[in-house]
Amino acid sequence: MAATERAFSIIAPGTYGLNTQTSIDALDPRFCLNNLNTVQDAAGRTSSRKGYIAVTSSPLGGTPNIQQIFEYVSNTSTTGFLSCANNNIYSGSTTLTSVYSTAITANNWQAVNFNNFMWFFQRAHAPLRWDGATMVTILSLGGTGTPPQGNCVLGAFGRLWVADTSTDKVTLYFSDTLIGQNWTGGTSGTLNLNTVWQNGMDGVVALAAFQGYLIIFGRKSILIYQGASVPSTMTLLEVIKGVGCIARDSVQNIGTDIYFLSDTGIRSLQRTIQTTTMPMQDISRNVRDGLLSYAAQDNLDLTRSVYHEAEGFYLINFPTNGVAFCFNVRRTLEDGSNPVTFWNAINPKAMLSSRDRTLYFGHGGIISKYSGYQDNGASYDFDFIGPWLGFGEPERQDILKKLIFTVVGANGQSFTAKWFWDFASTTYSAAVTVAPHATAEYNIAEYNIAEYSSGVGVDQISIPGASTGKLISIGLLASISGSQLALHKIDAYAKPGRMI
Amino acid sequence: MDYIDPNQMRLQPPGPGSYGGGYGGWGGGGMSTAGPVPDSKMYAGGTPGGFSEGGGMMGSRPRFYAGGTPGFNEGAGMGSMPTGGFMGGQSGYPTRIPMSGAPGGNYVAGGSRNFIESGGYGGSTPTGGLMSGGAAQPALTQNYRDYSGSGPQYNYSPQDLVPLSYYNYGLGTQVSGNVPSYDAWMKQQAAADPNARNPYYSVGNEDDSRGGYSTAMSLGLMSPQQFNANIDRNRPSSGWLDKAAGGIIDAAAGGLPVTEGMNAALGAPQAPHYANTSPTPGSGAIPRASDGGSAGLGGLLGGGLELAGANEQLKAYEEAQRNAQAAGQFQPYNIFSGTGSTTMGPGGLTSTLSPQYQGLRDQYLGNAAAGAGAAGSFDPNQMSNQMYAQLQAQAAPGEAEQRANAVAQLQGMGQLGLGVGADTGNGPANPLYSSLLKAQADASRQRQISSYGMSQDMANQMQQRALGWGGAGLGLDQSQLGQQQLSGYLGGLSSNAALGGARLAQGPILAQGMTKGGLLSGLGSGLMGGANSGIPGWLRQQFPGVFGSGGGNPLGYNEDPLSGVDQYGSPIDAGFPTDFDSGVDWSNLYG
Repeated sequence: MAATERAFSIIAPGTYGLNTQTSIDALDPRFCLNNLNTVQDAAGRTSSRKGYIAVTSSPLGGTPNIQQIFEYVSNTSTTGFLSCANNNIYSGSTTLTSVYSTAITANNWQAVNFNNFMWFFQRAHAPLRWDGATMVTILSLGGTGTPPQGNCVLGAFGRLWVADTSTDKVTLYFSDTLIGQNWTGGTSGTLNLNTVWQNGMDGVVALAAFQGYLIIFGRKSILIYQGASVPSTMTLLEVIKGVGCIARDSVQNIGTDIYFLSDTGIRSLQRTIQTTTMPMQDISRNVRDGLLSYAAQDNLDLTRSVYHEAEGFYLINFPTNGVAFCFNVRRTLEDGSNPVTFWNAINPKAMLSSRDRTLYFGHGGIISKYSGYQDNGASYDFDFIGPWLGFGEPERQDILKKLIFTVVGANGQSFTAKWFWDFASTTYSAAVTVAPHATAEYNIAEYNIAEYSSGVGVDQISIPGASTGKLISIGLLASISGSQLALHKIDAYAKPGRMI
Repeated sequence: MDYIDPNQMRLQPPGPGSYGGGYGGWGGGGMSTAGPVPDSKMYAGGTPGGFSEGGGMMGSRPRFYAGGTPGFNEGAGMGSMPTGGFMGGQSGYPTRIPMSGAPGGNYVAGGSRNFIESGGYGGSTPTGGLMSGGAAQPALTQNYRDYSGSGPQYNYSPQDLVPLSYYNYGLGTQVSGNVPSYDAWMKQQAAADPNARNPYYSVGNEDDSRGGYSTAMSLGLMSPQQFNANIDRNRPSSGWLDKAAGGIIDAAAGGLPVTEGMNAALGAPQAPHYANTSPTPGSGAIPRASDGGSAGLGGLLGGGLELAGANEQLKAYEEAQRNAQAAGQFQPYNIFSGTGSTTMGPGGLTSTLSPQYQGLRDQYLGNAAAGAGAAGSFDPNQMSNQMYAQLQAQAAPGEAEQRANAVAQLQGMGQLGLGVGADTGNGPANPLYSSLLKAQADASRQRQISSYGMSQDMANQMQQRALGWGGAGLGLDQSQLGQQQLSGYLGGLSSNAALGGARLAQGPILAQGMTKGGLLSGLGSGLMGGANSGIPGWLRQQFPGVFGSGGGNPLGYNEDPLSGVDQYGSPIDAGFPTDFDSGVDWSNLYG
């Protein structure tokens, strides 16, 4: 009697995201061991990320990296782009025009919109103010006192808050109410945090406002003040010990929460607040070590992040390593983490999610936007590897007979199916090319051709299997170049082998 | 002319019974005849003139004015002063006599009640009379006391042996030697203190019985020794009698001097006597009617006896006055109580606290002295600083705790390093801590203010305490005042009671005097009538020596002049007129 074939199917593989922390354990089939350059689309499928296209028509000479992009918003909702590269501050996006470069030695500015102006702060640099047309130093405005040359700035509660100067990491400065150039007198002041840090000396890394609280991110701790609208009476609400922010620009307000990069991964502040008495949790727990290894190897001053509402992800990029982690904030796993995907090749040096729901990147000499399925005209890999799965009888080896990949949008693409047995590094693969889809042709009856796609077709690609083993990891490697590729389903068929 | 002792012319409280006016009801006899009284030498030294006021001395308005020429003017009309004699007071209107005009002659005394209008002496100097100095006028400026206090003061003191009134202005010499003064005599007689007023002088009674002697003495006709001798002999001293005697002597001896005439009539005094010597019966005898003589002698004696009767009446007045004055002497009471005693001694009123209270008083006053010294040396500023330092020291721990708590609170609130503002240029300040410091500074400032206030209060309290101690000691002293007042009050009650008794006793005395006076007057009338048959028997019995009652017994002072009368001097013989005016209030001798 012929042996009964055994099979399993993985619908929406990788929908739980990348999991590098428990890669050899029995993972939920919806995790994945690799999802390079993917995102999770609105349907929860693992899909190829978009590429980027240049917005700037004429790249800056020497193609210096655009390391910061800001969007100025006036009282009349007039917007404009300001970008930082080559020790200059440029206005515009299509055409970059330098608006200020005096004494600028770095491009690590942080700017905030506040009271009809955009205020620029960078450590060891004279703070600047942009009024929509002119960039001047704040000091030149003739305000009271000297504005601190801090590295982080926050415009909230009716004033500017600045910290992290070259010589002072513990003092929080705040301007007079609605007067960003007044730093003495009135209601301006300072808050020395020396006595507030609870884990020994700490330093301010980033500032944020969240749900009416003033959030002061230290390197190893977080201070939460309430009543910051009146600094003279604001009080310390909470001190979060052991968790801090290690990269100023990793802090992103995602509406109901704040994400930031800490020494333990990407953290959610709200969850941190809510779980101060609970075991530490982070939203990057499934990629924690891998993420931190990149963070440790990278220049955190240049690490940028963005929360892109339109795509529903929080993206943090480590420019030195050229990798980025993308967290799907639209979905939260049972362990409180967000499904995460891993990017390379795109390596944005600056990121901005504009009001028009466009995600802008800073690249060499240009401002680009997250769009299309090419990286500025170049293809990029889509690499997916599923978790280790068995066919149901651990005491028996199985003989892989066939793999069927159900993909979406693989119009004329070539890809390679690959699989691994029993944690071994030996790769078994088979290259296939998806036939180009013909677009729907009305009034043309083509029988026996089931084509209902209107540009994005769904293909089932069958690949004959080979070799035997007990646990199998199935993957797909595709080159994205102009078209989206989404992995919809993976089916595996095996024939029972011998008993061990 | 009345005798005026300048020493008596001082402002004093009125003595009892010394005012005139109460005798107005006596107009029934004596000088009560209305109309001008012919000059009968009743007023010595004056130019014949008399007075013309109806009622005369004894009238209802006894305005008696002696001897002036041309008499007197009614009411206040004393503008034109008489050129001679004196001007007595006006008792009917016992206020004053305006002395606007300068007397043209003799000294003018007077005044209402018991004083002389000082202004009356103002700018005019008498040109004659008692106070006239003649060639020795410069001494006049010291012969009287300027009661206004602005003029030269009278140098004479009551203790002088020879009062200035005895200065012989006529001779321009002053009598000297160990001559008893009239003042001394008066003091002995009146047993009063030297300041007591002349008991013989009062408004309405200006015609002192010794005025004649004074006048005679002032004219150089009688020496002070003779003056005193005459008084001491207790001769009838009524001015009227004196004048009457003078008239008799003049008539009989043909112009003999008054004293000699008196001596001739009554016998010369044996020796000067002092006032306290017992009256010595005179060795001379009064010529009796039975002694023979011309028939005119009877008429002469009759007139004299008639005048002597009037004199007896005045003597009764005087005795009643003296008795009343003696009875009215103040007799204080000694008071003893738990707090001390108040006794009256020769040195005056002495109040003594009990030993316990005296010790308490000394302690009080000692404390007061010590307290006053402490209050005087108390420095409020120094005390303020000291108290402030103490208050600060007391508050320091609490404030330090507050600051520590504030720091802890700031630490917990994460605001320890918070600094806001600094408009003042002092740098940002921590709102909570600076408010605490401000509050503490305010409290410190308040403590400073309080310290200052408390130090001032302490100073006041120390002063008040010292004053309280002093007041307590003074209060104990003053507690004796009550006793003194009580003593005086009781003494006053006693005097009033005695005076009341004396008033009651005056009735009989006066009645006796009146009786004698009436008797003598009647006798005199009888003698002038040339027959003794009309003399009542009781009167002949009374004066057997005069009326020949068998063996005769000349009238002498050692004979009982009151025989034939009862113990109160009232005649016990029938026929004695007893029609005294019962409507007179005899108890009111003050007028």
